[in-house]
Amino acid sequence: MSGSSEAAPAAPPVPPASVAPPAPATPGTPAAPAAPAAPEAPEAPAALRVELPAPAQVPAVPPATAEATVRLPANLHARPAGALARAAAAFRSTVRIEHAGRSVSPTGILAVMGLGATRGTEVTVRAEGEDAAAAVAALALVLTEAE
Amino acid sequence: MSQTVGIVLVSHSPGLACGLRDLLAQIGSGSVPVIAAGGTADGGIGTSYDLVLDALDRADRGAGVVLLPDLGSSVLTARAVLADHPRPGVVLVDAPFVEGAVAAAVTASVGADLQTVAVAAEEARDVRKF
Repeated sequence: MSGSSEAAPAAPPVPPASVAPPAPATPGTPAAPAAPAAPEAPEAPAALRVELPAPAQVPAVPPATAEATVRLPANLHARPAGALARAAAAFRSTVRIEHAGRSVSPTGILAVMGLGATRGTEVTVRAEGEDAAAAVAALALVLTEAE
Repeated sequence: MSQTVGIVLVSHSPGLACGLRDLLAQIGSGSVPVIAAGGTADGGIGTSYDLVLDALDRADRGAGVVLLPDLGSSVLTARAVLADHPRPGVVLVDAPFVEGAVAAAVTASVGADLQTVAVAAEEARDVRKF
């Protein structure tokens, strides 16, 4: 969204080539009616100016994150792990399944089963990306409905 | 894209291949063509060239087939079939039989391509059971 809001550079005033045709390189007054804050205009024309301003870089849009913790109604065995893997494949976000200090990708059914998450324990779904909220909602639902 | 990668399970035992196929169905790979090619033509313990060849035909729906042998002469039989009937869309994978099949089936069921399914099966080797 706000990707192009770094318009800080002093872009407007300096069209050097067109403004300074008369005097080749006169130090005095390079015809600067609209260039108030440009002291060394003559020596360092266009190219240099571009590099000057960079203090307030707007970071790329921060990725959305979401998470949910589910208390398992059943063991996280093959069938729900398979459902989890299929559900996860529908999203673009990076999703992780966490249990007892371990974190795996939900698309890896073997790794999910390897968590050994049993009924009554908690599993956390964490996602980062454009559809993070939807991914977490979908996977948490799969976990909630495990049987 | 609409086609699903198929899986052929080659085993010395008809029961082992069919049981694994049934397990895959439970995990939700209903959309994936999984064909068991276990045992000899008369149902004994061993491997059958003809069963494997026929299974490849039945599993291939246009997106390719992952051919998963259990061990030993299953590998040799699978290789012999592929040597006589080269198919660009068949990949013989070196993977644990059960885990590789499960990983392949789940991956195929979400519409992954042949290469992705084959890699998923082979990566099963590196995933600890617990």
